[in-house]
Amino acid sequence: MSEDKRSSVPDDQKLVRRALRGDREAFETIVRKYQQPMLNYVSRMVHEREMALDVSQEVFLRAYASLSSFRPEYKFSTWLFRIASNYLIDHWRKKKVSTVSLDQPVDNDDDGCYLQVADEKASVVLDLEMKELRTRLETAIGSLPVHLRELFVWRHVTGMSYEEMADIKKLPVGTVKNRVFQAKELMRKLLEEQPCPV
Amino acid sequence: MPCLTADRLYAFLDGDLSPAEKTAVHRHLAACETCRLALTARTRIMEAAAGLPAFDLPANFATGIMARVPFPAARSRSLFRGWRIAFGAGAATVILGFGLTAIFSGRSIATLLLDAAAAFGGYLHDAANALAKGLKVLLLAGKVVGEIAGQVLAMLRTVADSVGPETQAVLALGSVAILITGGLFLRRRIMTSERTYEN
Repeated sequence: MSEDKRSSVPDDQKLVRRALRGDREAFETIVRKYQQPMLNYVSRMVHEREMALDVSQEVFLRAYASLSSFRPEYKFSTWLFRIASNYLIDHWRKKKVSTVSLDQPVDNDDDGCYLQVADEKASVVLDLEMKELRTRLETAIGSLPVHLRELFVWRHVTGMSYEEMADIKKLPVGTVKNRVFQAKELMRKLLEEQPCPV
Repeated sequence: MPCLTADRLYAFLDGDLSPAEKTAVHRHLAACETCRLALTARTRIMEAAAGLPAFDLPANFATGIMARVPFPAARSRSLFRGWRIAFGAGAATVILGFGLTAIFSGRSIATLLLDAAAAFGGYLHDAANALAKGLKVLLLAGKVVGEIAGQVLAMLRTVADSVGPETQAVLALGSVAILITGGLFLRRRIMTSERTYEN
C-alpha cells in the first residue's frame, strides 16, 4: 500500500484522536480514505457485491467500536486491515469454506493452456489481451485458497509491502514472502488451466 | 548459468537481487528464450493484477456507515442521564427508608431527621480526627526522610572530601547524567501513557 497516498501515520493518528473525542467528521474522513482499498480487498475475497459492501461496512463499524484499543505505535491501515482479515476468517469459518494446506507444494507441470506471451504485437492487440487476462485473473483469484488469495490481493492488487502484510498477519516476513510466491505460482497454474479464449 | 527457477524470477521482478545477481540474470535472459518467456508470462500476470479495476463504490457508502455510527453527543447525554438516574434512585431509597422507619418505629420524620443529622455530625467528627492523625503520621514520615537525606548528604560530603577534584568532577557529571536520563525516561513514560490513554 502506498504510504504517501493513503496512510500518513501522523494524519491517521490525529484523525483517530479526534474521532475518540467525539468528532464524527474525523471518523468519516477515515472511512472515506480507506473505503476504496477496503472494498477492493473485500470484494476479491468474497466475490459477491452485496456481501462485499456489507462486510466492509461491518469492518468500519468494528473499527469504530474498538477505536480506543488502537495503539499509536502501529499503523492505522495495518490495524484496520487486521480487523478486516479477522472478520473474513470468522466469515469463512461460519461458512466452513474448505482451504488447502499452505505447505502443499505448487505443482509445476505445464500441461494446459499456456499464457499468451506477447513479444512484438501491436499495442491494440496487447491491450485486448491484457483486458482478457484481467477478466480471467478475476476468476482465478476466486479459485485461490483464501489464505493465499488474501496475500495475493494485498500484494499485487492493493500494493502492500511484505512488511505491512507480515504486521497484519503477525507472521515473519519470510513466511509471507513464501506464501505470496505460492499464491503467484498457483495463480499462474490456474490461469493456464482455464480454457483458452477463442 | 542454469535456467532460472520460479523463485529466482520473482526475486528478479521484486528487485530482491544484488547488482551482480541481476547482471547474471540479464545475461541469462538474453541467451535463453525459455526463461525469457517464463519471465514475461509472470510479468504480465503481475501487471494485470496491478491494473485490476477498482470496486464500483456506491456514492452513499460512507454516509451509510456514518448513519450507523452512534452519536458521541448521544453517548455523553446518555452518560449524564445515567448519573441522574443513579442519583434519583439513591434519593428515592433514602426517602423510602425514612418513611418506612417512621412507620415501623412510630417516631416522627422530624425526630428521625434530627437523629440522622446528629449521627452524620458524629461521622464528620470521626473523619476529621482520622484526617488529623493521618497528617501527623505524614509529618513524622517527612521528618524521618529529612534525617535520612541529611545523613546521605553528610556521607557524600565525606566521600567528596576524601577524593581529588578530578574524581569530584566525574562524580558530579555522572550524577547529572543519571538525573537527566531518569528525567527523560520519566517524561517518555508519561507521554506514552498519555498517548495510549488518548487512543
